[in-house]
Amino acid sequence: MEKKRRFHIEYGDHGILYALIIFWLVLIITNENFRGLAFFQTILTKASLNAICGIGMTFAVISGAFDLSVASQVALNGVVLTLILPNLGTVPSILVILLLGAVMGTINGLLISKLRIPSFIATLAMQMAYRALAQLINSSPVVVDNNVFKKIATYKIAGVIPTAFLICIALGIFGTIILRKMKLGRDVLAIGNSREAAVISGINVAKTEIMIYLIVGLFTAASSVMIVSYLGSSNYGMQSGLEFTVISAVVLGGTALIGGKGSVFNTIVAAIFLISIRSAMDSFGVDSYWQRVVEGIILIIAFSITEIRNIVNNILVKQKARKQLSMQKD
Amino acid sequence: MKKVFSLLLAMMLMLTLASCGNGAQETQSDTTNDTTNTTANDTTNDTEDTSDAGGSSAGSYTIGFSVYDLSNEYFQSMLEGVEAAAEENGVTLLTHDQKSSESELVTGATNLLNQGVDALIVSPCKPEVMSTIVDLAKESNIPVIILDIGDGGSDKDAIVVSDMYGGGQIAGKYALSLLEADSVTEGEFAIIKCEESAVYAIQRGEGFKSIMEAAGFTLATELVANSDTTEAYNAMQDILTSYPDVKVVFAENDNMALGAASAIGDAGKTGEILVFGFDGNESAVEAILDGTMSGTIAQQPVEIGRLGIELAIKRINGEELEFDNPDTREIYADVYLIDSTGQPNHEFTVD
Repeated sequence: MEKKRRFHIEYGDHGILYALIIFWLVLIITNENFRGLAFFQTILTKASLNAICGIGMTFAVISGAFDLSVASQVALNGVVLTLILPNLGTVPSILVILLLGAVMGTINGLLISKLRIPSFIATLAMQMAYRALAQLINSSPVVVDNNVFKKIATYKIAGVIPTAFLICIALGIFGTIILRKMKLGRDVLAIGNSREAAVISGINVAKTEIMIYLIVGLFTAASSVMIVSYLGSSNYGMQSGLEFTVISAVVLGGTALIGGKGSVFNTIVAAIFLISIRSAMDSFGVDSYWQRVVEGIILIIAFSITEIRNIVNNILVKQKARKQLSMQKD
Repeated sequence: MKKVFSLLLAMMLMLTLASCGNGAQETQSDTTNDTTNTTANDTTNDTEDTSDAGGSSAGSYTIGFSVYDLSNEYFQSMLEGVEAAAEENGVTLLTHDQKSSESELVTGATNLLNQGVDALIVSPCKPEVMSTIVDLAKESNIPVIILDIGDGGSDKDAIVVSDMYGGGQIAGKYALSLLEADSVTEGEFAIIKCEESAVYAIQRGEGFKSIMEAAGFTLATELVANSDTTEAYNAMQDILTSYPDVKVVFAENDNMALGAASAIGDAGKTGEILVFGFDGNESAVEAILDGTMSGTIAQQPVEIGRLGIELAIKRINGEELEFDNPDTREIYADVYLIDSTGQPNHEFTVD
């Protein structure tokens, strides 16, 4: 019993993974289009772009907050990236973008931890500021003319495994190590469970909060690089609405919006799940208005999933207790 | 508990999916007959297409159409044109809605290519993404036709746009005929322009200018109002104070024409200065009926959609296309005048 409980806490539960596998199986059985490798490659590539950003967002949601500025961060990163890429080359440009992401994350973190602005307001304000900054820097779209850079997100190793997915998995492992094995990760979980308790137990909450948004900024920067590589272009209006896609992936992955628990890998799986649904609807020729309805329903399911889980859990616990009681009576 | 939960979730999603599919088909068959046929084609394609690997040998083609945003009336009309032409030519049509998102555009277009389409038609929400898509299509020698918006500098097979220059000319000719009726044969005119980057919109103004200058009118000024109603209002106020002799104003889109018209109205000069727009929006037609605007040039999204399918079929068959502008591979769709009665007027045409 003890062992099983630890397993549960350490890796989260795998409900979303089972759901994804069942969903894929149903697709493969019902639709010819899904029997090719190409479809899964497209899904994994596209999902990885959102998932990488979602890894960072998982930290924010675990701490009981979220970052609404990620879409604008992608736009600013993207615009700067396409400007410096022809002059600096691929690797230095990516390093500059990671630095820029870290700076934007730190600004968010300082606003939230030092000025005590609620994360919702602070990141909403920065959402506008970063996007406007992107427009100030370059208001016209840029097409990337660097084939090496464009391959980062679109190359397939041995013609099978998309690099984007590999990078996503690597970053996912990195994120899991931070969350599970490092003090920072434990502090984030502690803040999510109870900020007051974290303060009392001597955790440097302000520093941890800055670190959370720094992590969000870094992963968003990595995601920006992949997105620009995937699209082969940038413009200041790009990716608006990304924050909702990413937050729904995080929440659908079982990270509770009130904080305190979560799993990086479930976020990745949930991101793949969401993209699979979209591709499936296209393949089944679902009318585009109905697609919007379904996307709305999915969003509601995603945000109510913690509660649905609790209800199901309660019922099961009660049943178990009744069984045990009746057994004791016997 | 986990298994129960995941099963529940998966079943719920499948149910929503299934019911949505049915719902979509029902609504389609309710509205029109021709869309039902396309739906029927779609379903047969789902089951048979991959088995005969693209199906191009049998003489019936599969064409993919990725559209900007179907919540916009203009693109609904464009889709109507595409669907009608696809049905007439016995083409199986796969459609995809980008919902104004550039990642959706790339993913959707990739999915269409994966489904083995013989040609790809795209009306891109973000033109700069097109080079990525065209590169992808070229890998498997799939022709790409772009409808409207812009090509983003990509190596596409063709782009269909409304005849912007011709539309400006039609507006110019109509303006001259109205001025002649008032026995005005000389004077000044002004143009309110879209943003400098809108290459197609700028041709509208150029077309108008060419006709007016040939008739002996002089260009007072050209002001940029970034396609925006408020900015056009301010620009028009500047024109009214600096160039009191202006008789005609041409705005490169209807939103700006409306701004200019209300500035003229606020100055109490409605009717003294003719205002022309471009697009044929409903609000512009209302303004024409109110007498604040004198005319607008309407685009034909249905026609653009039809041309898309026709050109795609030609390219699949390996035919060369006849371009209106070979340098940019542009093919023009006709536009027409909506005159001061608010009705379409086909008397005025391009030379």
